[in-house]
Amino acid sequence: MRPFRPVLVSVLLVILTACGEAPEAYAPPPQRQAPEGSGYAYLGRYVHMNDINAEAYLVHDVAPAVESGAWRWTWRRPELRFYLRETAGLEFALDFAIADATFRQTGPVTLTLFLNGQRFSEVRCPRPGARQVRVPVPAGLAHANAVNTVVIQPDKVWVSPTDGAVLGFILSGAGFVP
Amino acid sequence: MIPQAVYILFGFAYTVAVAAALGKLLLRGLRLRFFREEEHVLAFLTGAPLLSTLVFLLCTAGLARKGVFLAVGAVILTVAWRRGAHRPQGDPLPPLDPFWRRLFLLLFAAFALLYWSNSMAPEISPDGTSYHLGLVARYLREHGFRRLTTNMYANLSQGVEMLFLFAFAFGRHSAAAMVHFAFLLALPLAMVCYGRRFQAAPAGACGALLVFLSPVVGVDGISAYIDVAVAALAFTLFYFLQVWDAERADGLWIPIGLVAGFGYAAKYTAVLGVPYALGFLLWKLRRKRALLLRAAATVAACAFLMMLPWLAKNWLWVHNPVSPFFNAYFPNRYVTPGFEGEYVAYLRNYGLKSRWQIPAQITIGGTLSGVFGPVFLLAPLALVALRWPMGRQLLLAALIFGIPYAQNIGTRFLIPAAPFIAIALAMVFLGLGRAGRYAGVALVVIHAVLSWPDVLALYTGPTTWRLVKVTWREALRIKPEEGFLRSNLPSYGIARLIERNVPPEGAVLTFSPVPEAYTSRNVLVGYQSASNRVLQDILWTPLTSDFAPTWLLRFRFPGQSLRRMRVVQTARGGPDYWSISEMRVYADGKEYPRAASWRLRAHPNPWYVQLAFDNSAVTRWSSQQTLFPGMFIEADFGASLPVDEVRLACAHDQYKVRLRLEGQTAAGQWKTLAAKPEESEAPPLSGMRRAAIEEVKARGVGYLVVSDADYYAADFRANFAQWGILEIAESNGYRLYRLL
Repeated sequence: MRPFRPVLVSVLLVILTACGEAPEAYAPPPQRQAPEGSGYAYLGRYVHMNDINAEAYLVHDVAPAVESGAWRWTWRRPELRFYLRETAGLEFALDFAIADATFRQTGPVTLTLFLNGQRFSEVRCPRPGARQVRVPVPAGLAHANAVNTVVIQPDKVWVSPTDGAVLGFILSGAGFVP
Repeated sequence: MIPQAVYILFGFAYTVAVAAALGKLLLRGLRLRFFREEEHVLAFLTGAPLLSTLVFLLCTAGLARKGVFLAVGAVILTVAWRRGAHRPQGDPLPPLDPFWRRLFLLLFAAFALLYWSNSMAPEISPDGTSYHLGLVARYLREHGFRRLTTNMYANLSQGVEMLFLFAFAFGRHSAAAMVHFAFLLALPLAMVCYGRRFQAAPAGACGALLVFLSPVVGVDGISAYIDVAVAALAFTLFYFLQVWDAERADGLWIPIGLVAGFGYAAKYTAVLGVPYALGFLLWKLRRKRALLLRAAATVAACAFLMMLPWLAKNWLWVHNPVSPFFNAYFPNRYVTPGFEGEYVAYLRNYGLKSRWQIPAQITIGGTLSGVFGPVFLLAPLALVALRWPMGRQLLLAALIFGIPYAQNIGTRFLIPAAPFIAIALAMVFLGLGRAGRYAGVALVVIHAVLSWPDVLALYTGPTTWRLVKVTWREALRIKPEEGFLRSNLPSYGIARLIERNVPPEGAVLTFSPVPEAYTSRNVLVGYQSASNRVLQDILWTPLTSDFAPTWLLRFRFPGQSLRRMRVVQTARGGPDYWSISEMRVYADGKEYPRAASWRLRAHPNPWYVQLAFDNSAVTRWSSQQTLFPGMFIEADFGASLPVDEVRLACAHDQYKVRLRLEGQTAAGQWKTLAAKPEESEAPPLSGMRRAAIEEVKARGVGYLVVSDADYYAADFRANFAQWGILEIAESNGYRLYRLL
């Protein structure tokens, strides 16, 4: 029998190694909170340009830098996105300004508003300065429980005579309000 | 000050000398008689398993220190000296034909010199600098093994790395690589000895040169890799078996078992040496039952002795003796079956369009990491050697040690089979009489020319793994190694930046391996463990819309008292894994807060179930296996609760899942509460980058390395403010970020 012993021990050890970790039960872990100041939230229907999560709303042609802690420059065809749970009774609100410096070159500016690719309103700006406007949203243009894109297209932009850089208008906030 | 080169050479020579001394003590202690030349080679190759196991035991005892290695080595050398092990013994082998002798010495010396300078140069191999020596350096720093569950490579058997560790203690990286170089020298010498012993001296010499001059064998053998060592061990096992068959010396059973078992300790795939040895004995002793039992028991016991340390280490620390493989049979929290499946699938394919590309790629092309050289396109001719008994033995061994190649088609995975094929091929050529002799010589000379690095560069791709240009000044460290490393190892710079910028207790997460052998900091590579994969998944969640938990599933049912609830998955198939970001329980529209008395379970992957109950949108529990019916996630409330709704927030990357909700009544009966959920889409989440960084920080990681070649590297660079990370250093496109 002696020669069998090492083999037997080997086999037993291999069998023992087949014991994996048994499934376990765990208590609920500490509950996470949104990191302070992270703006950790779902995409909403309105954004201030100095919101911590404002970048999530910007599709293109809005400057990444926040000026004076409150607003951003737009460029040729600024586009933003919003999530709307419901669409009934909403208006589109725009908090913006035409800068004196750009106005001197462009003169009066008209902003054309597009929602999901469809033109739905115009805002005329015959003089420089800050403005807050609300325009109604035609029924059927906005989609409920979906991301909606809004383009705010200026008809004229300021073009730098030295390097060709472009500036549109100053944007402080935009979105849908009841 | 003693030059660095002296330390390197000492580390290398001391390790080889101690291994050879142990081998001689064993072989002579067993009263085994070998020819003079072969005893030197076989002593090193038999002593290596013993020294490796000794170093393993020292690591286990926390005694992996230079002083201890020095003392242990000195004792072994002294004992060997006193027993006259240094004195040659035995008769000389039958001589090699003078022509072949001169040809062999000429080519062997030329390439050995080339290999020596590369081997002694600063270590730059990808795997050598990342994990082979990364782990060795860690063991020396920590004076032995400490439980390491974040690096699956630490679970592989590391028998050869134990020898590296012995040398590393004295001469650092290059001394370790030179230990592998010692195996590179030993292999062709053993092949020549085999030829001389078994009346096939020219074939042995010719085959030895075919292997030794092969570019992939050269570059692997001069690096801190292990494939050439495995090949040398496989050939030694074959050699001992052939000697035993010829001489029937029972004492050979012990070295046969030790070398066979050490194959496993060196590399899992070489475990085939054990059934090969046992099968060989079984066949040869099939009519001598009593002798067979003694032989098999001895060989099995010796082999198991070599394998046991690695099996036990894994069993105790990662609950899978053969980790990181077979995780479905040994479920554990450290490596998931899903990852294993993906990893193995890649290694079987390497992105090739067809397996018919393999012959060209392993001989000329090089996309499978290194080439054997074009002459190996003639390897199928080796089958002609089946007409001779010796040829059949060689080709059987080639077949057995070539089997693992199906699992990993990298060129170097054929190295263990190459010596047998090479001798068989040489036999075929040299068996053709005078013309065959010329053909054999031409074969070797052409192979030498085509394998020389400058010529190799003319016909292989630019990414083919091969030797780099090393000057004497660099090899001998007359020129500081820093410049060589920065020129030849692009990620060396980031390793040094990690060392400089990360505090000793800091942890660094990276998506791609970095040369851990050149930093002492704790580096967590995304794919190298299940917990690292969780970290990586967290960081990818904000960047991949399919990972965000915007798929809302709602189970509604008549209100009732339930003690346990589980969501059961019923579909089957890949490639999807099932995952849940959050599972919430409601009554009358109000969510129950998760009480400390709740108990959460999941199957499979139970260890990460808390990720579905942590109120974080950037973490999720995942099955980490492709779908099968019966997967579940469960909440046990500890007492009956009135419940009428369960909501799940899930990611979309699981198109095939089918779910139902079950509940357990107070009486203990399970019943289906809802056959399927109502589905809706949540709005996209914002602010997830910052949340992801907070999660990663909460898991003890303070730094992140992103290579410009990594997925999403541009997002980390452009949106650093949203992430909450700061780039603190950059080198060659590798960026080190601090998590703020």
